[in-house]
Order: sequence, then structure tokens, then C-alpha cells
Amino acid sequence: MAKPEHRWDFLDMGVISRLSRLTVSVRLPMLGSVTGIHRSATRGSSVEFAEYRKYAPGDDLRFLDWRVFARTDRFYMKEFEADTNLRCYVVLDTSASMKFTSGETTRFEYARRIAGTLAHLLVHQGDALGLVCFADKALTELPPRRTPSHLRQVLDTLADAKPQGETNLVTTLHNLAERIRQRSLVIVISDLFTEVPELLECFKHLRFYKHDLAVFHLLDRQEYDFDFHRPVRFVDLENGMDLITDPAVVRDAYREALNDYLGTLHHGCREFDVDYRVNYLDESYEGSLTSFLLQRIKRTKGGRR
Amino acid sequence: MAYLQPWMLWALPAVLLPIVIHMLNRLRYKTVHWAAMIFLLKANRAATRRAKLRQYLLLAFRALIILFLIWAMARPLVGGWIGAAAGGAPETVLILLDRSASMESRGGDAGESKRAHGLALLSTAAKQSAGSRFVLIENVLRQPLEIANASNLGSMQMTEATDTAADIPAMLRAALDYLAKNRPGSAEIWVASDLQASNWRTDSSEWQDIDARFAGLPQSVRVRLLDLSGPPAANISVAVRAADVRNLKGAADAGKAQLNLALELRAQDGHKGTIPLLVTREGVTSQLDIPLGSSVQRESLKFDVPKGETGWGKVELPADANLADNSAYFVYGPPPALKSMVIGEGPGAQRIRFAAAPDKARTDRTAEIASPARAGGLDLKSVALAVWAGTTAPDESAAKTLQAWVESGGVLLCMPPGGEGGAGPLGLHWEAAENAQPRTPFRIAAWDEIDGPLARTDSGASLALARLEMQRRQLPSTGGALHAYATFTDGRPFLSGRKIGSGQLFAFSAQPDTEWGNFGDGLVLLPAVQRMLALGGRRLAPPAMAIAGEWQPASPDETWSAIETDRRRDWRWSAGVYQSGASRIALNRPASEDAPETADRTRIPALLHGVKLTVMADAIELKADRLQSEIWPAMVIAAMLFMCAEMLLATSRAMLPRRAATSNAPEPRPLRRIDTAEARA
Repeated sequence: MAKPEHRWDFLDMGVISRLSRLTVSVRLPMLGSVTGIHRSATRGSSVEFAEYRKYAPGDDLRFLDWRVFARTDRFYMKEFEADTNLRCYVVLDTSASMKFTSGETTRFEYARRIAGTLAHLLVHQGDALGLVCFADKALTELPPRRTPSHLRQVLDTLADAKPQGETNLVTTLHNLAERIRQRSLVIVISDLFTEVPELLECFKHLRFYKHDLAVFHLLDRQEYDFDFHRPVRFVDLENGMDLITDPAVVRDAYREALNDYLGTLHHGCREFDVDYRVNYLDESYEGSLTSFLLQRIKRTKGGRR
Repeated sequence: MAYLQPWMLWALPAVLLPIVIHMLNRLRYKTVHWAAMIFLLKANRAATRRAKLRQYLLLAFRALIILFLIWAMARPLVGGWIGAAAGGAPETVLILLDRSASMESRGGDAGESKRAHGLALLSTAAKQSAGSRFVLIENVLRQPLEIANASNLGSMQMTEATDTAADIPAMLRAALDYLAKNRPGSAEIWVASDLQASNWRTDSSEWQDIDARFAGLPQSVRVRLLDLSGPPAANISVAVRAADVRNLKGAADAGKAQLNLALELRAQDGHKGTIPLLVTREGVTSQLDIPLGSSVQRESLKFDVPKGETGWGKVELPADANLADNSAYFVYGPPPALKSMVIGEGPGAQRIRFAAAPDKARTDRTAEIASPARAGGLDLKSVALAVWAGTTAPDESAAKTLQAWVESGGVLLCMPPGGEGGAGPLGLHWEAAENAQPRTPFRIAAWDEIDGPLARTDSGASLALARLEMQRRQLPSTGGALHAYATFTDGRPFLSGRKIGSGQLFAFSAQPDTEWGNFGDGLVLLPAVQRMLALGGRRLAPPAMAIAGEWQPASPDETWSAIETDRRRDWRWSAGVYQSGASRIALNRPASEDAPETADRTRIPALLHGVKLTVMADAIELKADRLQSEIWPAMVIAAMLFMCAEMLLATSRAMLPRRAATSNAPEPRPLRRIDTAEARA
């Protein structure tokens, strides 16, 4: 496989090649425009039998089941599963909080790797991919397309994206839910640092339009452990507000708040059937993606390959 | 609060050390750009209230630990007397020690005298003012005496017991003189006294002067008064008021004389009963049991002594609350022959001569009559009393002789000349004689019964001045003021007097003549003349008894040593019998020292209202080691308690925010690499 251009250094072709044996599948039937590898909500002409239905005048006689007619003297039409393509929106948080890291890889870098890899996989399996990079004011949106040139454009956009500004995840997701006309796979990659009830409202909104929603929740290990020992001046990455505090004093309360947040989020995601996964930045994104893809394949009825 | 090591207090800012370290720690923060502010803000809101309280408590405990340790190291002292010596010890401390006889009274539980107790307190206080220079001014010499080591106050000769009185205003003046002369930068005056009223004389106008002098000092001087007055103790004092020897008459008693001791016994607590009195005379001690009936009792003891013999003795009481007033000394000897010279003529002069020497058989009272004409040539050297009863003024030589004699200590009595008056001796001027209205003779309305020739007798009886009725009188006047010893009903003087030099001038306003009234009866004239004679006799014979502390030898070359050698005595302040050659004198403590009255403590601040005055009341009840006690052990214990509290708070989670009981959040998943091989499977 050709080496990616230097500006796409978030793409690891080795990872892509290993993951390319897996399919990015959806858990729900999709309504694609062309034939693809995903189950469609409509009946189609694949080899997979779906059901019988009564003949209606005008039906294509090729699908009439003559054997049933011979046995029962009634006209039944054989229907087959339709295979269609997938529209996928990768929603990438580019707010300044994505710059955070306690290790080597920033949250944004991690998110970009996931987004880039998924984009690559999706386009290469013939699905349409759209990209929404959102921050406070900047919103970069690429409509879903299937063409390799579109992939290049997506990867360029990813390469150009810079984490800055405050997050407006809630607004972005609500707008997106209203704007996507067809059922799609929506993959949100963010730190989700916003109020949980509002966030769950967004998820509910997306799920209401029968979108398959997957959420990569990126957390740094330090954000969970809060293992500071000396007084620290915490400066908000997004709005610059600072807070000097003794971590020893606030640690327990912080963890309590974080655990409350994670617990509520987890519970809410289960309720709205959101494919929610927490990723720590010190974990390998390849492993995370592998488990993500595998779980989806398992849940997909009639998953192939 | 005073400190033994006040310089340690400079370390007090170290109390802020924990706070400074805390602030530095806070300043030494690491800046972290943080994304999960949403939780941090929530946590901060929840945690800060209790955690901040805990933090402040910890800081307070740490600061208190340091505070108490520094405080302990400064070695604080508690006790009210020295008080807050924030500015350090004064440069000079003047110790005014009242070591009068009354200070030997035992008070408190320790059984030590007020003086010893006061010294112990002063020594203790002096230790805590170690950087100061100490100057002792005691009541006898009132000479400032620098003390090298104030802790030895109790063992110094100049602080031993005396039989003197104290003059507190004079001591304060001596202190003020010292301050004015030496000009110390800062000074304190420590006064140790039992506040005896006669020593303090709070009614005296001297205090205004003292207060004004304090106000005029350039530096502010603090006066600390150690009030050693105590409740009246079981104390009886004895004093010898007089020791007279009278030659006895009669065949049986020929060659004998009688010693008449006039004693005064005072019981301070109203003691009643019989007390044993030891009388020592010429080395022989005898005991007399004296029934005590009143708080002040006068006793007259009579002893037979060989005629013409001199001797000394003492009376002693058993030990009681004050050992210093249990003994009194006396010296006796043959009465000096007192000679009177009456210069005048006529029956009046005769009566005066008779009043001066009523008993011709007695050799100790003689009187002569001389003519005024030859008064200028009289030899008055051996005369105790001269009476001018002439009708004219003395001539120039006589006036000179009389003037010189009176100034050298003679007592001159002038009788009115009668008639139109005119000049008398020694600048005396007589007004014209005036006659009383018929049936309304001149009467005596008031006279000095306390002092002077008309005072009460030893037995307390008044002279019969009220019975005098004068038909005629002639009033004297001089250029200066005359003191009236007795006055008529209209306020004019009957007996006037005036000091001239070391002598005395008296003048009666009536002649002892029947034409003038009943003055010549002798009821008044005799005792008055006898007393004037005795007064004049003092010049001739040295006093046999004097007051310790007041008496001075006639010349500084004389050496006076104590007859009693049982203990070290100094005539300057110890009672006793002293002799120099053939002369003897009995020194006793002043009568005022036996008076139990104390000055009103509340009046003292008013006397020194311009002075910073600290009164340590009831010092007599105060143990010397309690005057100022070190309390550093308490400070160390307090510091240790705070350490324990700090440790407990620092290690326990009592004040920390509650930990979430259960977490329903997913625990961070362990790193688990899911490789594609597994995926394939």
C-alpha cells in the first residue's frame, strides 16, 4: 500500500491494513442510495432471501415463486434483502479541550487517528463518509460521498483541523440530527465535557431519526486519576479561566463528580442504545477500533466476511 | 506580663512561618492546562468549605505551636507587680525601703517580718529586672546606695531592722534628687512600706511638691508600691515616756532616791489580761505582772535607787507579732540642779521665785531674784530659766545679755510691766494694761493641752486655767508672730511664746498679783513655770532619752557605743543605751511607730496623680516566689497539645469531604490489546 502523504501522518497504514479485514458495520438497516454491503431497510435483489409476499399486479414475474404457485395455486413473490451502502458522519470535536494530554498523544491526535482510520475504512468499503469538525464558532462540514477524492478531501480537512475554541457539542449534534435526511451512522469523537442531560437529549434526538450512534469518549488517564500532589493552577483550555487549588483537598470530590458524570452518561447511552465507549489516551486506538468493529459485527445480523 | 528573655520575642514573627510556607507552596503551584474543569469546579465548590476550614485549623495549630514555643522560650512571668515590661527593664530602679520599727511586725503565714518579706519580694522582682542598676534608699540615712547585686538585699546591713521612723515623703524627695542628679534614661521607684500613717503623712502638703517634682522629671518614672500593710496582729508595744529620779525626803529615806518610770503600753488587738513585763536595771532583771485593761495604758513604776547614782535599764515584753516594739530603754541619773533667775522686784517677782523653787529643802531647784538694774552683769550661764519681771525695759547691756543667752538655748519668761506698757526685752512690746468690766473678769477660753507649758499633766489632768479670773491684763506683741498657748474669751493671748534661736521666749499677759486676779494662786503659774524650767534645763543637761534615728551626737567626733553588746547596734538606727565617755543616752523608737493606723491606700494614687503608680496590694500575703512566677511549662504543654491536635487533624479524614460511597461509573478498563488476530477469530 502506498505510503500516505506526510500531512496525513495520523494515518497508520499498518493499522488500516490490519483493520481492513473487518467491516465497519451498522446495527440497523440503512437506506443507502446505491448497492453496498449493508442491510437495507427496503427489499432488494441480493441473494439473501428475506420473505414472501402476495403478488400484486405489476410485480416483476422473475421473482414469482413458481413452486409455491404449483403447490398452492397462489402467487407469491420472493423477496430478497437489499444491500445498500452506508452514510456515515464522523463528528469530530475540535474544541480546545481536545488539546489535552498527560502523555504523548493529545486527545485531538487520538481522535484524528480514529476519524482518519474510520474514514479510510469506510470509503474503501464503498460507504459514503461525511465529516463534521465542530468547535465554538468554526464548523467544517463535508457531505457524505463515496469517492476516493472525497477521502483525500476528508483527510486533508482532518490534517488541517486545529483544536481551538469552546465546545458546542450539544448544538452541533442537534443541528446535525435535523439536517441528516437519511438514516446514517453517526460517530461522535469527543471528550464530552458538557452537561450530561443536555448531551443525552442530543443522543435521543439522533436516535429518534433512527441514526446509528456511536460515541468515542476520549479521556486522559490523568483526568480520571487526578494524581496531582502539589498545588496546581488549573487553566481551562477552552476559556482560559484558572483555578488554584490543592488537589489533595479536592481529589475526592473531583472523583465523585467524575464518577457521577460517567455513571449517568453510561446509563443514558444504554437507555438510548448508543454505542458508547470510553477510550483512554494511553490505550492503543487500534485495539479500541478493533473491539469497536468486532462488537458491531457481532451485533449486526447477517454481518458478512 | 514580664519576660526573662524578652529578646526572644523578636522571634514572634516566626509565628507566620507556617502561613508563609503555605502561601509559598501555593505560589509554587504548577500550571496545568486542564480540560475537565467542569468536574474541578464542582469539586472545588463541594470540597472547599470543610477543607478550607481544615486547612485554616491546621495553619492555626501550627502557628500556635510556634507562638507558644517562642513564648515559652521568652520565659514569661506572671504576677501583677512588675507588670507589663514590654519596653524591657528600666535603666535604674530606686528601691525605697521602709525599715522603720513597724516593719518588723509579722504578717502573713510565713512568720517573717514585713521588712524581710518585702525584701524577699524585692529580691525576686530584682532578679527579673536584671539589666537595671539598683539604688537603695532606706529611711534612716536616705542616702542613695548603689547595689551591685540586688538579690542580696536581704543580707545587707542597710536593710536590717531599725528602731526608727520612716519619712516616706523625704525618701521620695531623696529619690527625686537622685533622679535629677543622675538623669537615668528610664527609672522606676519601688517602694516597700507598711503604709503606716505617721510615715506617709498623707495630709501633708509635701506631697504636692513631690507630685510637682515628678511631673517635672524629663523621663517618665513609674512608681511601684509594695503594700505590706496587714491586719492588726496580736501585738503589744511598750515605751518609756519618762525616767525621772526624785530625791526622797524624810529621815528614813535619807540618801535614797526614787526612779519613776512612766511607761506606755499599747495593745493593738485590744488584748486584755496580765502580761509579764521584764524590767532590767543595772543588769538585774525583775518581772512585773501588769494587768492590761485598755488599748493604751500608762503605767508608772517606782524603784528605789541610791541617791546621786546614774544607771540605765530596759523594759521588755514577751515576744509577740512585732519584736521591735517589745523593749524600751531608759537612762536615769540624779536630777540636774535647775536654777532660775527672776529679774524684778515686788511681790510678783517673789511669787515667781516661789513657783520656780517651791521647796527650799530641794537642792535641785533654786531661784534667785536679781534687780533689773544690774541685769546686764548677770551670769546666766548656769541658769535654766530667766524671768523678766521688771517694770521697765532692760537697758542695752541687759538686752544684749538676754538676747545672747536666749539664742544659745535659754528660756526667758516675761511678765507684764503694768501701767502704760512699753518696750520689753527681746523686742517685746507691751500694750497698755486694761481693766476688766466689773463682774466680768477676763477668763481663759482655750489653751494648748497637748504641748507647751500648759499641757496636761502626766496623769492626763488638765491645768486649772478655766478657774483663772483676771481683773487686769496687759497684752504683749512683737515684730514677728507670737504663738498663743492660751487665749482669753475674746481671742487675745494669755500666754504667748516664740522661738528665738535655739531658745524660747514666753510672755504671760497678767501679773501673779492679787490686784490682777487669781493668777498668783499658783495653780497655773507653778506647773507652767516648772515646765519652762524643765525646758530650759535641757540646755544644761544633755537629754537622757532620745529617739533613734533623730538623735545626733553633739559633735561628729564623739564615739558612741552600745552598753548592751548582745547584738550589733548602731546609734544611727538601733534603740539601746549608748555611752560616750561618761555620757549616756537611751535611744528608743519613735512613739509614732507604735500607732497602728495605716494610710488610706486609695488616697495614694491621688497624692501622686501625675505618676504612673502600680500598687501591689496585700503583698504581705504573697509568697515571694509567687510575685512573679515563670509559666513556660504551661506554654510548652500548650504547644504540645497543639502539636497533638495538628497531628490528629492532619492524619484523620474527619474534616475532609466525604468519599463517594459507591461508584456506578465504569472503572477504567485495563489495557487490553485486541489485535486483529483475535478479531479474525
